[in-house]
Amino acid sequence: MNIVDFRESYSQDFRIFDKFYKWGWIAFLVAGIVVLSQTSGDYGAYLLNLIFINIIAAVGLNILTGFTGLISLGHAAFMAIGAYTSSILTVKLGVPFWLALPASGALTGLIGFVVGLPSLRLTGIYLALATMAFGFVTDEIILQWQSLTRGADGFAAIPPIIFGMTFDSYKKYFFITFISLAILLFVAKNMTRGSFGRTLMAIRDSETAAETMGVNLGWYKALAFTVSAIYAGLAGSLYAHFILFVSVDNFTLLHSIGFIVMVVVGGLGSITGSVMGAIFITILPEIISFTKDYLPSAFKTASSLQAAVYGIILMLFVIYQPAGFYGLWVKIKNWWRTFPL
Amino acid sequence: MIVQQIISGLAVGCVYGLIAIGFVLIFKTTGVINFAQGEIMMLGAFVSFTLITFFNVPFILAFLLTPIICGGLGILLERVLIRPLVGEPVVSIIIVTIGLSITLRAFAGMIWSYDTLDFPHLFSEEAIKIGSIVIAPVDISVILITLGLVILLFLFFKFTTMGISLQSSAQNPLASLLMGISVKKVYSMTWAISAMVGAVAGMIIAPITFLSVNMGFLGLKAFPAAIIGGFNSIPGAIVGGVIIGISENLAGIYLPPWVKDIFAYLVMMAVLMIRPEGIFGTHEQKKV
Repeated sequence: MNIVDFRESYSQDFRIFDKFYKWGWIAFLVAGIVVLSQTSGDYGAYLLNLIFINIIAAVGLNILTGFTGLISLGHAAFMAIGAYTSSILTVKLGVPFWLALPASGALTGLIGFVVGLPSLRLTGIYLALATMAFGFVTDEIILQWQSLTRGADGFAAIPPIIFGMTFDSYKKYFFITFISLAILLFVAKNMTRGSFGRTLMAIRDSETAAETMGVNLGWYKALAFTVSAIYAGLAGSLYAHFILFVSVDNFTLLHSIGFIVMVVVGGLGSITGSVMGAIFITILPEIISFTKDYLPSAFKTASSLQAAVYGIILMLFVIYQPAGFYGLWVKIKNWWRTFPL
Repeated sequence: MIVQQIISGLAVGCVYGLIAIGFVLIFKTTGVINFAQGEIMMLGAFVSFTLITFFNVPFILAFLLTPIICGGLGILLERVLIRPLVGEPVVSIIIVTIGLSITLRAFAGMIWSYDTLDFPHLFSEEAIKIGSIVIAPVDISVILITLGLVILLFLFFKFTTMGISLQSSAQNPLASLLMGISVKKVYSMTWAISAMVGAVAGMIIAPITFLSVNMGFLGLKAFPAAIIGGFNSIPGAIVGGVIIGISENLAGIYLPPWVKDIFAYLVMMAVLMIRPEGIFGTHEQKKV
């Protein structure tokens, strides 16, 4: 038996979980979360919903940034498009929610494909700036297209109705976000462990080498953008029917940066990492308000304390723990496995 | 009307250009873009404001002291945040500068509050009239200071040993290292200079627009300026800034009013599609 578990064959590497018993842990976790959501009160259910939506967006961004190596500073704009599409479809056209949700994903994916096309020419900072500009322009279009989006007033969405059941409370809505999250995580895991994910990672590690191996760079980069945008669009749609009110203030550059923080803090190029990062960043405000009582009074009242902690965590993670929570987890696991050494 | 708009656009454009110079300097030597440049500009404005109103330092002295303080801050930031990351992927360093900008804004908010403050005016607010054209003296001062600063930078890069070693390590860090240039020193010098330029930009824009913790977002408008001029060209940054400043003002007249806010970004997107290296930039071939 090996001391450190190296993977010795492709079939080992392709597995969703390297150990079979981990499926048991998943079943345990699912049961735990469902019980938690129904017993932890309204605010707990609210937080869980928010965490799930953020996980979906963060996983989508990780496919783009972590797996393909393309940075996007306009991800909140994709989410805005998804949120507005879904709420306009349900409110103005009376489309049922179960149709509006995939429709918003599809439209966002289409826009993502178009935004992704220039990524063949633009790399690094240029792409970051182009996606940032895309975010600003999208927000402005939403603000000005008042006949459709009601501009700066914001748009009131309606709670989803499926098979005559109205999901109008956070506890009921939990089931929608949770099932969506489970499906999307499964899809993401399958995408990234198969040939598609490996192609993306090849592009990230060396574009020239990937191209030499016959990878169509432009097509795969645009596809990475598409997938990433679909995730953001679905997250946006889920967000709209959860908060029941959408406005561009919820989808600014700072929100795009927030998703990047989740991905980086969790660990670039790891689905598990994005889940950890999204959970951590979403409950960070709760942690801060909990520890506020123990801080010196100068910091206690400062309204920008949360932003300061945010920024400092981001910097510390990149400098001292570039692999994020996931890297830390792997490190601890290996240390534990090889303990006496 | 048009001439007036052009002159005020020129003044704002000069400030965009100065912030863009900060981006360009750091990008040229270290290959990193500093998303916190706008926040350094904001700090420059606040430091000089504090010196003038709180410590009663004469205006001219404050004007000289602020860049020195901000330059020191630039050296400190480079040493603490950027130096440990040399050789890491550009994405990580960009993310660190984003974190830095969030942190600086938050701390500035703690120190100076989120209110919009009035920056003391150095020049009379009475407008100068030439024929039918009305010009604000502040605009003229901005244009002149920018011009002076650009000449100073030009002389620095052309005739001082430090300036020449900055240029050489931008072109080829390894060769400069072999020639006995301390590349570490060059990196901290670069950050110091770009922080100084940013501080000056902050001091001259505060009287025109406003003094607030959120004025750093103005720095985002300098990205289009740097892109249009070419991300590795210093004169390009100023030219790009002036183009953005003027075209933005003209767009405000001739196009629907809301276009003005995003016009710079629309121009930037167009430039990125057509000629990503900008007007003066050079295309760099990537080695495998």
